[in-house]
Amino acid sequence: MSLAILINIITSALQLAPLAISTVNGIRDLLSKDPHVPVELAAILASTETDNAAALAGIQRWMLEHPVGQ
Amino acid sequence: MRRLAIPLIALLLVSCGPKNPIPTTQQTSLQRVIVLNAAVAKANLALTQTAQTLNTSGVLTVPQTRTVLTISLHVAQTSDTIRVLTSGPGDWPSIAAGVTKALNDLGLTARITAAGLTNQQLVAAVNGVAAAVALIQAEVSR
Repeated sequence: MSLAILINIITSALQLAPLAISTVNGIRDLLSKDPHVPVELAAILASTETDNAAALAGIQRWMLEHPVGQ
Repeated sequence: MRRLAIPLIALLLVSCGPKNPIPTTQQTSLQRVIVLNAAVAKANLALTQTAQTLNTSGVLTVPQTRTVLTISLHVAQTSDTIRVLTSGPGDWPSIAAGVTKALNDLGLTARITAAGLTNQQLVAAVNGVAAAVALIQAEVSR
């Protein structure tokens, strides 16, 4: 699968989550310039950590609000 | 008039000339995995939000939502493992081996198949995660 297809899939998925679009656009811009890309690794690592932390926090909060057996 | 035209033409030629290229670096496999892992995290966050939104709107039941969020939970943990692996010391072969093990332990394809998702929005969201994961797998398998 090409990077372009990947980006289309991710972008279409993220249309359900508009707040995430700006960061995805940043990733898309980086990948679209492949293979010669100015990779700002520290910022990308930080965004990965932030997104994972947000996902984990969201899951934890939802699980607490919807206990098993509800 | 001619006195004005010559400097104007010169200015036009200069402004249309080649620009200084933006400095770039050749991507390594490690860098590509880092970028793709950011895409995994972003797509996974979207999956989480989609599942919760569909639950709130009554499209997904609590057990169905729990199934999706469990997948999302494991993806987030795996993505974080990859972040740690790729941001620490170590040579590429050992990092690639660690990433491969993390992805194998995740077993995303089997989890998705077992979940039997039918909602189009959820399928699109989970496909985004799976596609990014697949690209990381391809990168570490080179």
